[in-house]
Amino acid sequence: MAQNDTVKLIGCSDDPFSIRPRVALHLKSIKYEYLEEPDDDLGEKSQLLLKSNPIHKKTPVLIHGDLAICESLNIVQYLDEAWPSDPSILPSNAYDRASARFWAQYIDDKVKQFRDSLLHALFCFLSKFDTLVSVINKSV
Amino acid sequence: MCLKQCFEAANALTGANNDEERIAATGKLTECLAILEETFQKSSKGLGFFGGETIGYLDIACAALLGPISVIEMFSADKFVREETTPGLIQWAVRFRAHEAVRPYMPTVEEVTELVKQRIEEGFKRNFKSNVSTSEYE
Repeated sequence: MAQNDTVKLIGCSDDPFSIRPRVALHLKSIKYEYLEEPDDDLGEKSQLLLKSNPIHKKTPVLIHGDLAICESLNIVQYLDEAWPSDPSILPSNAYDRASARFWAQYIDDKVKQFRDSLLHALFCFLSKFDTLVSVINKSV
Repeated sequence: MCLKQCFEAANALTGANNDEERIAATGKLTECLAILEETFQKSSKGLGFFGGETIGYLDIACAALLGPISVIEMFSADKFVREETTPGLIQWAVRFRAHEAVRPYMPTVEEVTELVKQRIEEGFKRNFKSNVSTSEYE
């Protein structure tokens, strides 16, 4: 895949994972087109997202020429390999690289858990509110 | 082991019903961030980033942590990334946010807070509407 092929990134400003490829693209001085995906709950998913990430249907997705690369850390690693010029993102030493990947995975798991429990908390909050509203409605 | 603790911590924190539960949950989350602090100290070798002098893979991975932590801090009205417990991480976060490759894409704490408020309001409006329509059938 040639470096002068077009690069696009489908991201979402609500999504903490979309920041990762944007930082990597900036560090590597890669010119790209940023495509903002509407928020999951509010809008329909774009055809481009459904086509380029049919398995998870999630942002971010990197589109390099006609190839799609999914998962934020995977995209960062791909960018580092496909554009090997400085600055390098992954460590050069094999052990350091393995260690960085281990901790990155740890962080990923944690962010997903935080996000899920936040959504759960929001849901609980709203359903409590819901009960309150229905109690008020009945009493009126 | 720590993953389970983090999960319990976040869960207990956001679902905590009283101050006692909340204080216990806060302790667990602080413990987990202490592990990341230790990783930072080892990985940065006394320099500014996980990657050493420059931003590396682990710094980029941690970028996804900053937003959710701000939201948790907002929910719990407590600070988890603090000078006393995570001196490396707190300085890292300031340095990282200010970096020219990060600043344009990373929302500020204020922006994240605003976004969460908007989401809560939207959710409330949806719920409120559905309730009004149910009551009309009663």
